[in-house]
Amino acid sequence: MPSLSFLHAPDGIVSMPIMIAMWVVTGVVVAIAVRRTNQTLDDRVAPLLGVMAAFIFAAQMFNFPVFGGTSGHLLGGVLAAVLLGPWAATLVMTAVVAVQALLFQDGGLVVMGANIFNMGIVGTLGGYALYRVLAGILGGEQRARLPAAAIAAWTSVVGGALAMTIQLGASGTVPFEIALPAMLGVHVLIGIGEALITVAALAFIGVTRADLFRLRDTQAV
Amino acid sequence: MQTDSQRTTPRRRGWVLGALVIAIIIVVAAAFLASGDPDGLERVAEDTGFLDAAEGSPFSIIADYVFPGMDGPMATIVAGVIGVAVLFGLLWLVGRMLARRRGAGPAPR
Repeated sequence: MPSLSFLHAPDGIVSMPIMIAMWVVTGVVVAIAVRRTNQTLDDRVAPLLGVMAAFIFAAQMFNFPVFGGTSGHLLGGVLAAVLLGPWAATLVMTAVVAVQALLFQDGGLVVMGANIFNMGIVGTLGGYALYRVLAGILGGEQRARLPAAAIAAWTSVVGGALAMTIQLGASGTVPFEIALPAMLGVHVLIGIGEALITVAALAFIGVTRADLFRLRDTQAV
Repeated sequence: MQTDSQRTTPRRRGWVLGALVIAIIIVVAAAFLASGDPDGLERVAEDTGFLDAAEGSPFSIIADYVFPGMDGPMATIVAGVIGVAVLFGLLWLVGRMLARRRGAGPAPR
């Protein structure tokens, strides 16, 4: 299907062993996320999981132009993790990717494990870990929430793209050294959009419902 | 019993509804304004020559965010609203199932 258009990786571009390996890792991490969420999630946060999933789905439909006939869209993992905590955010991202593949034929079914790994694990758990480190360095989450989230959001997109590139290279789809500059060149710019939208959404929540930021940390950890 | 935990509850349905309205507005805006250009991965697939390796789905429900039998922005809006509703409902249920009742008690820590 040469005219196929896609936002997430379709089937056919990642080799079977890599796709299986990604399913195994993703399955383990999502199982941990379910368990951790079950241990820590406050029932007041439940509607926010739904809101965040709906928002990320909608925002991912909004492709913004980047340069030279290329577009990008929100990932949303860092945004979700800052508000909901990393484990619940992983479940949100997993569900978004799954619904996009099953209902909207966006992203392949067999490669779904890799898509969840790249966006829901690298982009979300990895992005959140970086966010916490940066927030600590920059003087605490209260003061440094937006700058830390901006850098983490940018890095989450670049990191997810890097993971995808490694999978493509390991699959023999495209030589790693050819894919790497192309993927990073585009996603370095898409990451700027990610940082802007993440900061705008967090600033909006900060103005309208700053108390929601406390929900994550009042959950038992 | 006006406690801190009550104040941090997403108030009534107001904020949740407002956030869903924002999601729908984004869907409508996307239907009219979103860039039709290939996204980062698709562009790289084109440029480095593996686009043809992409396989379509064995089935089609609301492929490409276009509701079947409709066309124009409305098809995208209907598709997007369905996606927003499905994901909100799904994750709200998952949250309800996984969450433990803590809101009523004193906040831990």
